[in-house]
Amino acid sequence: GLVQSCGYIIPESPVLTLGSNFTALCILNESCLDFGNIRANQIIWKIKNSVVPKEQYRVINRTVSSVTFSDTSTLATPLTCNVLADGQIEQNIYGIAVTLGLPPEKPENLSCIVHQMSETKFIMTCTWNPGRDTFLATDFRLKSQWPLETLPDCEPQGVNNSCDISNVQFFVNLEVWVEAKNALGKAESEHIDFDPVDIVKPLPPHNLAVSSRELPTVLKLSWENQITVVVMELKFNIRYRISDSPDWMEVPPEDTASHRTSFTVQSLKPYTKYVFSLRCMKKNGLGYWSDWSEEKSGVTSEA
Amino acid sequence: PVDRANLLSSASSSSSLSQQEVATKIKQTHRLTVLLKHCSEQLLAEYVRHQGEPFSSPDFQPPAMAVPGLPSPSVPPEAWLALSDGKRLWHLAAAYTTLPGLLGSVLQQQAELNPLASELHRQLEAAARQCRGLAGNLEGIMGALGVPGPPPPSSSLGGPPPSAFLAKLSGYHVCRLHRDWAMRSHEALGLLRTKYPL
Amino acid sequence: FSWEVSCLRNDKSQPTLIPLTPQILNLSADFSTYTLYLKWNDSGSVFQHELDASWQIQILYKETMETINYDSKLTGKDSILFWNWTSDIPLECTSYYVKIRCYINELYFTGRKEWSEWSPVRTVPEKDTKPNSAMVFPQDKVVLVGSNVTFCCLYNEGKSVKFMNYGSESYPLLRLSKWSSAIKVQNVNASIPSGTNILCSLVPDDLEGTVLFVGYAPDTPQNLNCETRTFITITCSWNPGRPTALYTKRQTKYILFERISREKVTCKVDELNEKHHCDFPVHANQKIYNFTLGASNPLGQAESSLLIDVNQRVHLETPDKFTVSTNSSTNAHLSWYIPGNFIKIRLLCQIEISNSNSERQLNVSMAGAENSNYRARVDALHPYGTYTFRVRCSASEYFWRWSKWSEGKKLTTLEA
Repeated sequence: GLVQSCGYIIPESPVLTLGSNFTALCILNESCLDFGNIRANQIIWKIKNSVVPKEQYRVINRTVSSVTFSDTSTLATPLTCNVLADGQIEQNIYGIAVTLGLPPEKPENLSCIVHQMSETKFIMTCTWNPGRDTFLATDFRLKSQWPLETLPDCEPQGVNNSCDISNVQFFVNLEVWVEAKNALGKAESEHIDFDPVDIVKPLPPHNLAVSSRELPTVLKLSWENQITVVVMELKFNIRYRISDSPDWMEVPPEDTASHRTSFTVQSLKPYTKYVFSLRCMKKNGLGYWSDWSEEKSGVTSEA
Repeated sequence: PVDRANLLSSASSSSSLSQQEVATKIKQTHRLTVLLKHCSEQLLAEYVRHQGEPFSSPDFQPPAMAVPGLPSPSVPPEAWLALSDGKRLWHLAAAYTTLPGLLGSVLQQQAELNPLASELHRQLEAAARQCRGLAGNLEGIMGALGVPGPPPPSSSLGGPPPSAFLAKLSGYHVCRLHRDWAMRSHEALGLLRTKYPL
Repeated sequence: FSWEVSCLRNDKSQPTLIPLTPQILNLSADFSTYTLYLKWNDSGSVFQHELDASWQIQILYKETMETINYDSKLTGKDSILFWNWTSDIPLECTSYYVKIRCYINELYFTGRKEWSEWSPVRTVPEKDTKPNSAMVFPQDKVVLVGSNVTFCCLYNEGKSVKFMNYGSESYPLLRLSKWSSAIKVQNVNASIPSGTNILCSLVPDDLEGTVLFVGYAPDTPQNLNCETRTFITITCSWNPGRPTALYTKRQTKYILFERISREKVTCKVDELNEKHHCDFPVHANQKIYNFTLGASNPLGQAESSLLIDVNQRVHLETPDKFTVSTNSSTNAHLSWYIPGNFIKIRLLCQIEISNSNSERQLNVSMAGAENSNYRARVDALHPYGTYTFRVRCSASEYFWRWSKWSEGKKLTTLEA
């Protein structure tokens, strides 16, 4: 038949903060006292297979014995309550699993960037410092809200320090923060507030074309911007080099500080092959530079 | 100018936003209406493209059809301009608290009628989100200017339409009204922006 | 009260056999199939012997009417006769009036024989009044490509039809009644997913319409294949064949039926995906599975069948958690995990060992286990040699298919 357990330990399966103190109680069943002729003072506490020093025991009464740990770092699984049956055979009464860990720290350095993925698709990636390892299953959520509407939580996928939001809405202020939660507590990062249009890393201009002019010292660049002017106007960096030289030269940024889809580079050497590349960012300087565009070359006309 | 002075005096008493912040909010919201106007035109074109003739023919002009909870911006331009800033904002906010539910209903119907049209679904979803964002911005401005908020939205187009044709037709009218309201909101916020320069 | 009375009236001046006026018991309509159902009593009990009777059924639904002849046998007792008629235009398009009359072909009666009077007219319920709001019929009908379809537009008094379009094409109007006009469209093409629009433009300023979904009946499911990956479920996959041009609630539904266990599974199919599949539970003590995959949509159905022995259709998952280790200069220990319950069969695993100048394959047979790790040892390796290992497995006794190769793992044996 089923063997009826002679006692139990409380708390059942505790999650404990590393370095804190902890007391467990082993409570014997009355029915077992007579049958096994056992008393609380015969209880032996063990961590795995090593006996806990008796100084840490305390007999509360004839059925209850407690054990106290001033620093849970010494604890391990299982913590068992045992007795010497008839003074000879060590009999296990009950055992519990002990989980040790730490409450989550306040997530720090929350920052977000909106990556342009295609002409109409944008993904906002927010990253943060999750803080120390908690040794416990810790759930991180990226929370966000508009002034009058709470938006769905973003659940990190396979990591605990970043999350991607795909429904980005420009021109509406967004408040974002991170919440970390585990069995031992909860922590919340600082809240940051921004208009997503101010943290965009646009796709680089594409379909770059280089065409020579009558004037042998100029080449005209034309390209297409991948982000619609309805979302933002752009400014540009244009760099160029002589095709067989590694050294880039750059058009003065103030010359390309306004929205455009072409530019004429001047003061070039006649009949020389140049390589061009450009990048863009929001005209008012808020946000991030795009990557450099594909390189395109062109040859100035003869003098 | 009188209109604005009244608003400003009542604004300062009823909200914590400074004059500068109100102007920034209005500029941001105007940029949103520019985006909304651009996207609403694209949405209408994408919508008719998937309903088949005659929806997709340029001269398709069905008689107006009432859409529950969403009046058409039929107030003639002169009358619209004669309204106070507060009244205009109130009409806009009323439209943009209703439009998300309507666009949501159209999305449900199109998922049934056009399950393969993922770009149309994306645009309908984005349009509903933009309208919710604009409604929030408008309420922020109205709060700052001391204008009472709009009525609660009526939720959606009501139950499933009795037929596929009525689903297409009501969806068409919602997308067209969405575009009309986007043009009107763009106009109104442009006007407001001139009154609240940064 | 004799037989003359019920279906026969004796005209004293000249013996003439004129059946009594018949009574229609019931006239009903199924609008979805455009069909009228007529029920009447043939009063056969009037005669003691069998007689041939002819009936004329007249249907008035347009300015012109339609008369249909119908013959029956009187049997000496009353019997209820049923007859149905399918219109070529939706029943909603106009009102329908039906009346019948009877003629008795009594061979032994030498006098004149005439048709009875027409029965009182019966009309299709609630369809004879003028429409309360303009509408186009049929609504959301599904038809086969190539069908001929008639659409009608009902409108209120004071309105008239400006034009009726099928898609972008205008069609000649047929006037059915004061409040109803129709167009006939021949040989319709497959429609776009949201259906072909039929427009009825009315004066003054009203627009009504309907949508027609034109497609195909389901094709016979092709390349039906059923195999088990884990001995927990059998996965059947197939190619749907010709697209039906019908979607969502009109799309093809698939049901997988197993004849031996008489169990069936409704398959969840993603219409955006070319390849369809459906899972069926493996039964503890069933080896043979006789599958029938039924495909149906509003336009028809088709099916494919397949009989398999599940033991002969084992296609293992890709070996996972593949590790290689060694503590010697000439051999290596390999371990991998395969999900599934293979306790009842043996596995054949192929280990590929390659290095810069050679590649060889080793076949190893082992007992199957449940959701288990498998191990093998490879000998005859060169000391301090760098090798890349990968493994794949299949059922040993009845080979069906190799699993995919595991990921490759590199190892260098110890120095001699």
